[in-house]
Amino acid sequence: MADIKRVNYFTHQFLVEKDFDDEQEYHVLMRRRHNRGNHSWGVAEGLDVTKTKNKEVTISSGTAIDNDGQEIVLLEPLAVDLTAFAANTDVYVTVSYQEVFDEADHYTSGGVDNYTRITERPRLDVSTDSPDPLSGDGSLITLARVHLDGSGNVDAGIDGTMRKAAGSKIAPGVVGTNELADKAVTAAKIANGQVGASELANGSVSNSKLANNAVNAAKIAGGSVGAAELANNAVTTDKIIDKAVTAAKIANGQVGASELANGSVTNSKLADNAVNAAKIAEESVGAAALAKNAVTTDKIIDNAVTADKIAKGQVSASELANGSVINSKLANNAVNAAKILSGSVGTAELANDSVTVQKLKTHLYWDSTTSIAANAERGFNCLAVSLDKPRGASLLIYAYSTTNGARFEWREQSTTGGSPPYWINQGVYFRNLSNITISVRFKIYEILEN
Amino acid sequence: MKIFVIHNRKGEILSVSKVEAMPEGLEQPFGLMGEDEFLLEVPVKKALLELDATQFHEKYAVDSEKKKLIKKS
Repeated sequence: MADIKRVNYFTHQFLVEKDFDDEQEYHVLMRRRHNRGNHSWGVAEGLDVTKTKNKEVTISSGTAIDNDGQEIVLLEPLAVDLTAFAANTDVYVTVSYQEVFDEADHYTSGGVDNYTRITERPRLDVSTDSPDPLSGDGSLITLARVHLDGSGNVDAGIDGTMRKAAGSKIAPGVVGTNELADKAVTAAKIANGQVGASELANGSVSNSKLANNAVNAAKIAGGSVGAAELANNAVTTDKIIDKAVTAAKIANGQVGASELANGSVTNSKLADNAVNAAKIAEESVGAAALAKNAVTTDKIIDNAVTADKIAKGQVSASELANGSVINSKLANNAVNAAKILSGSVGTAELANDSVTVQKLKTHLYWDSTTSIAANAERGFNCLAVSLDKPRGASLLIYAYSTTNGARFEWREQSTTGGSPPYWINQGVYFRNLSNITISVRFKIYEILEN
Repeated sequence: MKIFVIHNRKGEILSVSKVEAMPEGLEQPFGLMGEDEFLLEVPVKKALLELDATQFHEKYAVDSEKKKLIKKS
């Protein structure tokens, strides 16, 4: 079994070269073991690559550690000439551990030819071959990728993203909460998806921690979004499920005309007596809208009912006010006998010359044409009145002659008869005053009292 | 229409009445008649209706015995 050994010095000990070599080797190897065991390989500090000339970059001083724990230390900036590389190419700048003998340490005396020191001089390489900086074995530390443009000049943008930083190795589970300084764990230190609900303190996810649109429906517990959580005007129409807005959800007075769909207010939606005059547009109430018998007298303004509005035959006696049918209201020939109240037509109502024979209540006794010889007289009896039944009769005589040159006259004659006299005969006698036989056309009426 | 003729014993026509209407129920509607005056109602014929009353005097006479109107020859 191999052991770690270090030089054990004691008095009077005789030291040889190997003892000094062992002394150095012990520390070098132990330091490299420390580096390997406690640090990951990569750039520890410095070693930045910057453009210093068109075809030159310079590596700043710095330190790196390779996979063997060897320290790669550049004490001074080092210029790298890139003129040997073609235009439009990418070149990679790498550094590695290298031990060399410096001629300044060359010792040649007393038959000895050796070097008094071993120089740890970093090896710098520039190549167009792309190294694998992150998954490589760590013997080569990539510092930068430099792009040469069409002229072979260094682009300003030198890519250092493939640099791997050296760090401390920490065993799994070693860094506990106590080992972490406050606020040491930044977002970059946390792998994606590692912070679950249990890692979050209650109330730790404040509004500002939430990315825009991060809280989708699945993240919101049922019933959690109350009025306070909803922004003003957040609930748009398409957020509301059909028929979700019941009457209880609508504040009083909020449904105006613009909220109502055309034709949506049906009869059943109107409360009784809800439609007053102010709600009815002018000219909008037609005949169909009026209920039967809805238009009572007090609904009709004075003088609104013109003749056009009255159906034929609808104005009967009951509709006419007393004294309303004045003369001008009567059409010519409108008042026939049936319209005149019995006994209503007095003298004042009769126009002059208006009562013709035909208008009188008469009894026609005679309607005849009679021939009368020259100078002769011919009589016609009309009635015989019993004396115990007096009947004073006025006779109306209408007569003319159709014979040329005729002259005649007539007289009425009353003659008593019977013994003792029981009756009175009333007659008319026509006398021909001519010397020729004439023809007399006549009518004799009795004018009746009743 | 009725036609009455008043004539004398000789059959001469004294008066002719073509009557459209006349009183009913009177014992003597034709007034006072003379002693030589007789009343005859004659049947209505179209030919008689077309005659004026005075024309009876010229064209007709009465057969007193037969109580009949006859044409003059």
